[in-house]
Amino acid sequence: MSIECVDLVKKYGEVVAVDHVNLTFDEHKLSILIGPSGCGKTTILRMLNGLVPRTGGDIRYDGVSIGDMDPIALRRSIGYVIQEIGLFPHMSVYDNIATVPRLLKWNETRIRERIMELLDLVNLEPDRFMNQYPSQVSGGQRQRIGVARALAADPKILLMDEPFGAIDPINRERLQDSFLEIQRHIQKTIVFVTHDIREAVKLGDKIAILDEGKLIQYDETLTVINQPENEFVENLLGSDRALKGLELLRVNDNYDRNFFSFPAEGGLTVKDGLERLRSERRTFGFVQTDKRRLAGYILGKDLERDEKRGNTARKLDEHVKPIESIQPYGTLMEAISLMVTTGLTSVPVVDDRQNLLGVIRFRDVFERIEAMAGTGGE
Amino acid sequence: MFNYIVDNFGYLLEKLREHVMLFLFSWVAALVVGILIGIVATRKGNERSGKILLAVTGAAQAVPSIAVIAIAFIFLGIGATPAIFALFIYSLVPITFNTASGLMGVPPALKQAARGMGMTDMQILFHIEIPVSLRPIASGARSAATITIGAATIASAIGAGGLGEIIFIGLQLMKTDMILAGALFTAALAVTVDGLLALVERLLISPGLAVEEI
Repeated sequence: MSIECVDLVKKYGEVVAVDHVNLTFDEHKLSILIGPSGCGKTTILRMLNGLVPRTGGDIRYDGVSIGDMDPIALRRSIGYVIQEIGLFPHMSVYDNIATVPRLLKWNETRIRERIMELLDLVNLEPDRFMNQYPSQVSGGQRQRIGVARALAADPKILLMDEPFGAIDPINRERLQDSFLEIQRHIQKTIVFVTHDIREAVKLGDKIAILDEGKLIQYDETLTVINQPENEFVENLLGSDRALKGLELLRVNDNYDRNFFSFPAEGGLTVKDGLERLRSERRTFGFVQTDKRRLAGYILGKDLERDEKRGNTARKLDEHVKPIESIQPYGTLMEAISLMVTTGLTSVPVVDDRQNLLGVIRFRDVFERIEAMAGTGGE
Repeated sequence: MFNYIVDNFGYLLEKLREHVMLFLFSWVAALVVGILIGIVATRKGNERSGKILLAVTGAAQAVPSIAVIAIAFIFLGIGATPAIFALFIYSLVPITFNTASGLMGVPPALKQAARGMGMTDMQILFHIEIPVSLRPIASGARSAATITIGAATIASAIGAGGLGEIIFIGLQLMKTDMILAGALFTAALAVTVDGLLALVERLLISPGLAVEEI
């Protein structure tokens, strides 16, 4: 379902909170509303489900005006998550999630099945969490429960008002990752309010930038980064704009499918290993089990040290070191930080069964940064 | 004192029954009316009257019970009815105050989330606001019960009967036994009622509200 804002206006007395905004939130996409406080982003969100009445203009759901809808029925058909989450403290996790289905008079069997499914989706064990109360779970878990509750009646639309705002930075990253993963499955039309540009870039398919109630720019995220409309948008993006672009680019489009690897427990000696590395002109090689799984890596330097000491008959497997890997849908930013933390300029790319797919190198990533900085016109 | 109690057990029970009636009529009426006033005063659009109500009932809690009973006597005369009316007014104060302040204390985020999920005003009131503020409402009801049972002894002064009668007669006859017996029964009644209400409170209030934040 797409949502269209047509010439949307909100005035509080003489104060114009939303100033003739026109934009369309696309079906199945996550659209961000961002801007400094008082820019009207939360007001727009609350107008979408009728919590704030509009002064002028219209909101259309697949062409149908919000004025022709029953506000209560509309809200029950839209998932809603706010910053404080608003879990009801006197209700168990189960009852919290059951709220909208019960308002819609689902039968209890169907509700129970749906709740099991949702807790599973947000990665909380149903048996453990179902009967707990919100005060008994952590902030991050509460957030997941809030998302599950919003998804309970399988709404086509999700409105989210700074849902991760009150979470500490480390857990916020994790929640964002798992939320992206969830959105990949559920493909809802999401309108997401934030004031954190990193979050916007990471999560948004499209970003709407607002200032003093006016829409400044509304574009695909990469377009916003590469072609900021004006100085305001540039400042919002910050001087590390090119770096932010790395949050958007996926490993998938930037890694090398050619790599060199040794078989694990292949009965090879240090001598064999050195010969192969030299003939391939490599300084290291990954190690794969016979099922193609990544088992670690072997550094040429280590083998040479053995060679100097005359230990060439030693088993190659003794030199296998564990290695961190990244998955194809990881971002280039994550790849870079892995390189920095491990001190390696190449990071193996694996699928979710740990099968080795290829390698991503620092110089490939750096080329992308240069390309982005170049198009920015700074 | 124990001799007095044993010898006059029937009389004591009769006065106890009267006392319980004085308490029950006034307290139950105050519970219904007080909670209703508290709800109405905290509905959207009534914020101003809600604040005024809190200020008035907050201050009114300082008025001594004997003054309220005296006023009831002036306007309504003697007997059980004016006494019940006075006790009703007196216990109305903490119940209204706690209901209103409890409902005002419900975090706005909860109401916003509930409204955003498509609850009607009535559903928000009964499913969210009242259950969440049950603790202050219940404690208002409990303290109203205790003070009403205490104040009802004074109601005997205007001919309402009850355990206060024993105390007043004891005072006139200078019989310490009687005064103590009346006081003991009153105190026991207050403690029992408070204990029962504590039990009800435990059953009514969601364990989710009792758990400490972690």
